[in-house]
Amino acid sequence: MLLAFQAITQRALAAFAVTGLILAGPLGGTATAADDAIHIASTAPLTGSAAAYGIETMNGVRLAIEQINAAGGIGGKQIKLSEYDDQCDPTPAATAANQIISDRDIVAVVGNVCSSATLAQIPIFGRVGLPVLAATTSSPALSAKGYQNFARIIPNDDIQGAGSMNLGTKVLGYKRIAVLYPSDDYGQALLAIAKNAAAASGAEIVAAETYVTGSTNDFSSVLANIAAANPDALYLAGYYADMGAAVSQSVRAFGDKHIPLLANAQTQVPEYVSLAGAAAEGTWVTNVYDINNPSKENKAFVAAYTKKFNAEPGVQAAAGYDNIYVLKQAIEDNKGSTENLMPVIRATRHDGAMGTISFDKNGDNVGGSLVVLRLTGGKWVFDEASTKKLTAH
Amino acid sequence: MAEQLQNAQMPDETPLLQLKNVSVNYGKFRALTDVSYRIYPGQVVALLGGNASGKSTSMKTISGTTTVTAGEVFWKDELITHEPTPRRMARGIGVVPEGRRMFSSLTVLENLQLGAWAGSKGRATREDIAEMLDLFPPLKKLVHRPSGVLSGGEQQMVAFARALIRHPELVIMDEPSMGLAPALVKRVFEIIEEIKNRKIAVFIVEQNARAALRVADYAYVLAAGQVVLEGKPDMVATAPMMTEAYLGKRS
Amino acid sequence: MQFFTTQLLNGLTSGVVYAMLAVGYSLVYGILQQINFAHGYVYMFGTFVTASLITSGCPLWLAIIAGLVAGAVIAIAVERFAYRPVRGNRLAPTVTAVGVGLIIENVARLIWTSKIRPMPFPFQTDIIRLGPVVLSPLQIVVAVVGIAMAALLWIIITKTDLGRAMRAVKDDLATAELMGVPVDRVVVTVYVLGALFGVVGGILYGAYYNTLSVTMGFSGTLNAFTATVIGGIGSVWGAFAGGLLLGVLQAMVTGYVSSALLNTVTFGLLIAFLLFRPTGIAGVHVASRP
Repeated sequence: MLLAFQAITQRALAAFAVTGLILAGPLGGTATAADDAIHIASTAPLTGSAAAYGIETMNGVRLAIEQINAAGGIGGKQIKLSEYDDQCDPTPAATAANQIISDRDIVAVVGNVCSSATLAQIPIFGRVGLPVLAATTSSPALSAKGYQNFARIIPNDDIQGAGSMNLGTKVLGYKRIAVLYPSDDYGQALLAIAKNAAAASGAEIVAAETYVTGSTNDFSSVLANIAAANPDALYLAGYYADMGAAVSQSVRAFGDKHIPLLANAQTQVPEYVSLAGAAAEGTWVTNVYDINNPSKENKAFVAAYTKKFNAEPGVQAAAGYDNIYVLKQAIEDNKGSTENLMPVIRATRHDGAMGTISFDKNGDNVGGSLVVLRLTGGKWVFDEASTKKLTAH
Repeated sequence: MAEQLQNAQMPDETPLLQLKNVSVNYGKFRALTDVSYRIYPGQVVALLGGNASGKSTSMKTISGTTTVTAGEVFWKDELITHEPTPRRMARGIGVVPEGRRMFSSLTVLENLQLGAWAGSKGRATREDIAEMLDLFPPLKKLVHRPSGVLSGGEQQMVAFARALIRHPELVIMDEPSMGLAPALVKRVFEIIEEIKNRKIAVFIVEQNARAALRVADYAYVLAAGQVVLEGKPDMVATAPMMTEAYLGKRS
Repeated sequence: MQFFTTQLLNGLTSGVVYAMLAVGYSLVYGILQQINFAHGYVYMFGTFVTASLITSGCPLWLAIIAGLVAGAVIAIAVERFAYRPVRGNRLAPTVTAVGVGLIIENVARLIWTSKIRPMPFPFQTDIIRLGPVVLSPLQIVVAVVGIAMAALLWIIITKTDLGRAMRAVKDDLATAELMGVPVDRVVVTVYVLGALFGVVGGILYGAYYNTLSVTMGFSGTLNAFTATVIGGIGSVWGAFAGGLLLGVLQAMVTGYVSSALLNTVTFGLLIAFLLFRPTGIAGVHVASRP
């Protein structure tokens, strides 16, 4: 123990000279097995370029743990959290993972923000069968690999991407959809998702038009193509600035004909509204979280978070918060045991701040927590009826 | 050191253009050494010399397209040694450059208009243009032709007209007869006579020394970057070193 | 037919904008045999001045004049400090131009941030119906401005002392100096003219497409440069022809082939012209002199 302490101290001192490695050690000190608490570890970027995301996520995690411990813990056991900094970088992330697995009291890892860092960690945790319940890692690659010890709170990019298409076809009943997407990987991926979603719901992609982001702001010709295809709705599968420009130019292509707009979470920013102008009014967006979601779970979360941190929570905080409550419910469903937790986590259904969280066989959130917003009077307004219909599917 | 056949060129007047003890080096090579020229108003001054004697460096010194290592250049009383080319040429100097150097995509008329505009008197008037066309009648039919397509003789006329239309006080000419048929060479020197009659000073660099000396009021002879002889044309023409070196045995 | 007309009009509209931007390359190349790599940054800056003044409530005419003045001032500065000291050198102006371009872009980022911004302009959301074809009043504005600017350029180049001097400098810079042509002033004017056309093009772009980004100085330049090459770099009339041709071709490829092929076609055209017809459609051989 003394040797270990010295090693940590030396490392900490060395880290001063290098970078934020000082945070790679557990911040809360090393707990002993005798305390009968539930020990969990978090790994998130607390320094570096993604630190803002990591810190907000950890705020959500800390708030949930504080609430649960204050209310008597899980089956009478307090939660003890060790925080590790993965810097959103695979190398420090792997170092943190190795430190975590050397602590045999840890029963689960939570709070992951970065897909690249988490990809490096999962095999390491997998060696000791340690379950990872990630917060906001969204790359489909994480679940595509079939890891047995992985689940996550927010819907992955594919499920998020299909959300707006599903809203258009299943909830709003559009049959003929046009897609505008950037020619890069992001756009190609969204187009593939849109095609799958359309096929699954019996709708048709009547036009798929692309552009090179950054090389043009002239959408007049692609919009003319889209107008000529006579779609029921236009799915904006691109970056907010491009979508803003396209929508602002759409008046000329569509004339007086109103064309419903379906957009990604990407687009739910003020810049889209200021670029697109009046033509953007009525744009539908699906997102993974909305602070104005009037569910009682979200209202309670927003109130507590705002009180504690004096700041409005975003999706990071909500995911971190729900992360801990899903874990709590899984342990309770597992009759208080922390043994063989992952199958139980994947079978858990939890109504959280984000919405209803449940998982598929790969540990992905099936999308029951998606929210629908609509641009109304220049503001993004939570649409409760559509949200219910979308998540009921 | 120069063999001066007559000291007083025009003693009472201020020269229009004067080079005073000018030396020009190109790296280690000395192109001109302590050269002095004076060109008085209305006077035709010829500069003679063999290849690499320093004639073109003298021209460049006057036009300001080379850097003077030592010495001074005056326009009337003003020191212009380091004045940029366009500004000094706009003072009242017309140029008939070596090889004529047409603005080949510009028409004859445009060449003339440009010549006037870039000079000291401003835009060419209709009279200016008519005067030039009277002076060079063959150009009358060619005014709207691009100058690049004209014959050598026609281009030489354009070059003269372009230099004269700006009402210069001095015209500098670099080998104006070069590459022209004998009949045209004769015409070139008639034009120089005509310019002389108009009391416009001329500084002419010419291989054809005999013809140049016929029109000149004064002549300088260069050898190896130094003035080796200067004086009235008849004296220069009869100087022994000239008859041997440049004018051949015939005279 | 209606679809064809719509795409043709779209193509002509973007073509006019390309042509305006391309003139800045063609003028400079035509007269100085130098590719004006700073051009994109100069017109970007001028356009941003106009856009930000419009946004802050300045009268439109004043904002446009201010943008033109800003473009001209920067063009003068770029010529004085980046081009003139290395005039006559083939490679150095490219390096100094890119350097000064990056400085301009970074200054623009400091002033206006990297955010993509809209450019409010009259008629942006108005449409005119001509039978089945929907037209924007701004397309008429673009066409009128395009024709007026072409006429203005034609007059300047063929009818004025300055235009004559520009062509004389192009034919023979050294002799122009010998004639007393104020070559430095003529050269600056060439850059300023290019910048003014560029800012006009930039303003039309911002007005019609309602989107401006500080990166337009670099990325937005590809089409303009392609138009220049197609038209025959160095020929200002070629710049107009190349701009219109490229704009229409892009609209037709998008309309009748696939929008996914747009950049392939643009780059392919650029490379094909550079390889097989470097003199462009105008066919003017400009690189005959060193």
